[in-house]
Amino acid sequence: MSEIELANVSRWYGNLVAVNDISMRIGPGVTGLLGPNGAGKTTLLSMLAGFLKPSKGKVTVDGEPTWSNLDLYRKIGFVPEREAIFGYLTGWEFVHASARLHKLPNTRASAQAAIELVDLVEASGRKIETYSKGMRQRARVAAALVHRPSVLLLDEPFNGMDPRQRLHLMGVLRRMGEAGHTVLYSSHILEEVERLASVVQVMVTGRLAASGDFRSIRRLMTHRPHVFTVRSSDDRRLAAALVTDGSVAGVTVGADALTVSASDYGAFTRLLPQVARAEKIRLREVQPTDESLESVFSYLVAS
Amino acid sequence: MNPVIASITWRGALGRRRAILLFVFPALLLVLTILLSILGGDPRDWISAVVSGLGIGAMIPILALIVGTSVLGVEIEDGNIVHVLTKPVPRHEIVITKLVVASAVTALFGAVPIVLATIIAMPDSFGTAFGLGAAALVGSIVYSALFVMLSALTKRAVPIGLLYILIWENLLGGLAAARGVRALSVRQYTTRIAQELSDLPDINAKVGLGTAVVMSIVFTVFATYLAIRKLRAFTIAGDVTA
Repeated sequence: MSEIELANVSRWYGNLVAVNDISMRIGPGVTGLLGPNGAGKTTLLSMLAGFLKPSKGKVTVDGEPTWSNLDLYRKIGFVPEREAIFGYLTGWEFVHASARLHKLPNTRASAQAAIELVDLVEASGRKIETYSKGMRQRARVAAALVHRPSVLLLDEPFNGMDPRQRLHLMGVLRRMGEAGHTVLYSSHILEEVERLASVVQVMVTGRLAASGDFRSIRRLMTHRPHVFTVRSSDDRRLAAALVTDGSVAGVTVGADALTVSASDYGAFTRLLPQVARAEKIRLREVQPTDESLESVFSYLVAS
Repeated sequence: MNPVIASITWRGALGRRRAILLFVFPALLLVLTILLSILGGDPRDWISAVVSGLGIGAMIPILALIVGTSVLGVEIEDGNIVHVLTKPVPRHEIVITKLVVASAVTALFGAVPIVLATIIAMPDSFGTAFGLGAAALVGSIVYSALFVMLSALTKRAVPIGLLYILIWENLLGGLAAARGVRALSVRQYTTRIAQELSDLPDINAKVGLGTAVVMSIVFTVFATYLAIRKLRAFTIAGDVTA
């Protein structure tokens, strides 16, 4: 069992801060690193995998610093985001080469077990250049876990996988987590984290925005105010009718539209047509604004 | 030397599209030698120009450039190197293995055809043939070290390598006053060693044997050291939104 620790870690490139004063401990089980693209997830994982020196702070695995620490690769497995792979090798050769580079006692058995684990047995005799994107990803995962690392780091591992492959890899990672491995993977897709990770670390613009149990973070996300732009045949009357309801936090009357802030998404979307019908007002446009994942994350930073 | 990395590197060097070029140069050298042999005349009149001028002076550096920049530089560029770097393998072992493979491939497609061409032209001159082959082998090693290093340091290893071969060694190195340039020319070291190990009259290097031997070693060691240093500090940076 291994523990990852980041203590006041920052990393900047020139004037650009990629990771800003992050502290966290990650123990056995599956942890999701969630955040929009450009949030600093890859930078953080690169520091954990020993491929980037922190500008400030300490990154350790079981108390040992990760930067330039070759021995640490005996307990770390890393699947980077870039999809590079030796296309001229077969899947078997690629995974077996990883086992040999680790100088494992029984390289053939280890390679076979890793290939079976990612369900790549049938294709393992084929050259990797003939593989689909998802199969290549599974080959890379097999190579990363061939030495049964106690820490497995994966950067956007589900990219390019079809739903079946995604479910399968999720199963593999879940089983590893249950077996006591420390699995940390990054994703910018909420559902990928929700379905797999018991613990979530949310990163936004280099900062740790939220951390902990997924359900409490999800609650925060669901209960945040939602903003709608509404155009109707009588904006002022509609505003007056809406503002009396508890699901509406505020209404601003603009030149040609209303901006409605709803505290409860579901209740508001049910209320609006009912009010319009009762007031005989015609709705011309209802547009939820600011529903991007980035805005959800930004809300978490502020909350 | 790591046999697993050597095997992957070997297959990579010969498996890429640019590997076709590896066959073109030695084929040209051998065809030219055969043609000139058929045309008759004393092979000593033209063999130096073919094996030393064309073979050691042009073919070896170009082959080393093709192979040397692919064994490490291409893997750094496409990200494949990470699969090797995430293993507990010392970085010097990785670089030295890749250098040995690059030198071996260059020698296979460069030095061996030079030996064959000399034997085709002068079937009795095994000593000269193997002397030229040894010089070509030295050239394969030194050039490979240089180009492996360049590919570790910069993404523009191929154009910089070409500039080194064409401008530094061939254009500036040919100038009478360019002694300093010649002192930093792998071509001159290799030609000097070829001159020493063969009895061909028209091979004339412009550096001494001592300089050639010492500088070959210095070039190889220093270039390898720089490549190792660069690989030890290999980083993966993420995209960052400002």
